[in-house]
Amino acid sequence: MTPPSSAAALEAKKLVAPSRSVILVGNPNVGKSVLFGALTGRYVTVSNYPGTTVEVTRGNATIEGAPWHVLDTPGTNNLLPMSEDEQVTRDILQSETGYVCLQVCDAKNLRRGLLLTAQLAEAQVPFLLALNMADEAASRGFKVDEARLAQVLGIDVVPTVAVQRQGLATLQASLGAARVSSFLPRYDSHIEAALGEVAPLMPSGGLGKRALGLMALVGDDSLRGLLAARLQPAALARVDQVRRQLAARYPESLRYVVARQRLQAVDKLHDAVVTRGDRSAGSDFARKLGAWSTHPVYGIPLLLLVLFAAWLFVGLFGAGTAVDFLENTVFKQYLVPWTEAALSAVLPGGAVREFLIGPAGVPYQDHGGFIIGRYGMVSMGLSYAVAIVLPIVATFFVAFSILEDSGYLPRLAVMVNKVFKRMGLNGKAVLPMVLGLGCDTMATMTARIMETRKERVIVTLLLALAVPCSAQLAVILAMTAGLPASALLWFGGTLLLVIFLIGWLAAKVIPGRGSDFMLELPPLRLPQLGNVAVKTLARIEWYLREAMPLFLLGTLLLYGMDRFHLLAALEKAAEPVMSGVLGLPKEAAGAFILGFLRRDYAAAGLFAHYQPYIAAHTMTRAMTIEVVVALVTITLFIPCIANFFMILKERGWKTGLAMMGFILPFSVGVGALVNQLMRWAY
Amino acid sequence: MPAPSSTPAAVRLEHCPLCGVDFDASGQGCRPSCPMATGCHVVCCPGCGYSFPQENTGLAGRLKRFLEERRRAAIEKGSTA
Repeated sequence: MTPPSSAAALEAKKLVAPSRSVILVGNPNVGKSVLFGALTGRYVTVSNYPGTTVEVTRGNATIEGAPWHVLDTPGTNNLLPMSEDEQVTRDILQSETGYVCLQVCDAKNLRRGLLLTAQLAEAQVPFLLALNMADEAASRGFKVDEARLAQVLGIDVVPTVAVQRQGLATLQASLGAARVSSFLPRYDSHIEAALGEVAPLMPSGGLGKRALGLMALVGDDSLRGLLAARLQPAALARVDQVRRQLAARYPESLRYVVARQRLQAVDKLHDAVVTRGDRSAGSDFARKLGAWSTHPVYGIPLLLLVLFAAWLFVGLFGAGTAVDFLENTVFKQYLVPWTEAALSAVLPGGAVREFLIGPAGVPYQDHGGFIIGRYGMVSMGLSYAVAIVLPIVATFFVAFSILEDSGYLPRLAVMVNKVFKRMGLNGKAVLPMVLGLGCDTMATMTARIMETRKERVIVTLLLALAVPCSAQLAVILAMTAGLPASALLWFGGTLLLVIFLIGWLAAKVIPGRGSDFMLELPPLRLPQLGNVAVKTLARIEWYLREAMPLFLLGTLLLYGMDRFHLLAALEKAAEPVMSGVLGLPKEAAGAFILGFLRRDYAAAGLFAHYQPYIAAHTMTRAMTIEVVVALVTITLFIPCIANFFMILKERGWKTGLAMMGFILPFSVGVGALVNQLMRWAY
Repeated sequence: MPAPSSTPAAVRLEHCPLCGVDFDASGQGCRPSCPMATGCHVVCCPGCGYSFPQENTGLAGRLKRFLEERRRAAIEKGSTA
């Protein structure tokens, strides 16, 4: 079947379509298309929505003996569109007539689905709600009181398992009874008053006037064309005037204010109908704590407390006790000597033995054996990966998993967003930067959400320059745990200043206004031990799988360079920069080479160098300055190899290389400046 | 018409720790796009874009399944009591 590709074809289709239409709407990944397939069978048409590259699927079905036209829309979280997909769904609901809606909702993520339900109710669209994946929700201990939900919403609610066609017959029988929901979230008096003025001005047909009025009030640009075409200039001017007056009452954007108040109504409904196991899905205290954690005033001390606790756990236990045991006891006392002894027992003297474990009688730190040596696979590669970085990242992963499972992580993202916005950063730019704390490489890909190429380049640059990934952050925390508070201030202050300056410059040169950071906040809860264990184990496995080969590769690189005297040549060549400009020992050049493979590896090299002094409390002033300068430079240094390739792939090799050309001298320049300032003022 | 299988072997449900969305990670995520994809088990949430290591594979997956079975058994025991 040839898919129609023009607006005319779509219009023609409307004329010949059966008299009853059902439009499927729902969040992404809720099984909407499976349900569409179950309703329509095999014969469907897929076409681009006019003027977009977004696909919509149409089909026909016989339901309860009557012909129905079925339309599947792109997944959406919001009728206030934030993407082209969401706009297409909203436009379909606005432009189609005489339809009923079937909202498909993931029963495991009911709160997210109910946010859309509330908007469909506001839009006065007749609909019914399919609670899909009901089996998975039940197996996870979720219990939804469907009868009460149906009663509060005033519509039919049908649990389904689309892949098994469970609930399909009930759903089909209920379609004809779809009706407008009586659930209407109430907003504060200012918004309600503004709505009272604006809603009557909205055009009739399509979405209800209350929904259109809300969209107009929050300044939905995508609705501008419709309003301009359907409203008199005086009415349009009045809408703008009311919107400006209302916006002046709130420090946040109206989109955020309306979304927050709607969420409160949804939360109340959700808590009334959903239980999980033997406990309620939400509680007053958890909700209050959740609200404090994103509060502009109370949120800051809570944020500092959380970061301090994480820092103590990672810095004192991970980087202190655990590293000391693994490095000095397990590796130095047992594993390295045992490996050396085992290899010596099977290898005769001579070139092979010397190659693998170095000349007999020489301590391994002083020679160049391949397995046991200064740059040996076991004595350095495994030792760095397992004895130094692993305990640090493992303890950090425990802390990170607790933050994730408690629901604090998204609140941390909101707090970071607020801080970043105060720095003058473009709102939308913050999202990839927050995601960068997970993995910079993937966050670089997320920079696609920025609208212009210029924005994407700046976000990519900020990510590569100043946002540490989780593994790097762990080693940084460990290093800073051994520093006096004043040195810590130098380090933190320098990084904040760099982010502030670059962010401020970015905000100046990025054209257009920033957009809101919209993130659904799951309820705050006590972290579950089992979940924390699974998350930590998954991260450790990922770390070992991804980092270990690069650690061994880096060690091999250093070994080869050492063997062929390239390392000494490089150290000599880099000495003017390392010693002269940065004031670091010339051996730090090796750490910077490793830094290109993985930045945490570079930090581990520095950690190994200074850890004995930190542990013995014999750090001199000069050493403290060296650590701060090295940490600043390595944090700002060119990104790891994976991120580098991603930058080349996403931004092109010219931009990627230009970025590296900026970052390299910039990081060294900032390091040099810190070195000079600290020697003068520290 | 025969009913399709309810739990295809390829389905790998993941829970986004940032926005709380549960999603099927099979056949999507970061892997195909990442230049270091081989062996990488990081997935991206379709809801918010947050990336995190898969929890349904390897040792973590085994631990998760073990804990889920225990929890399911506890729920069933509670409902029959």
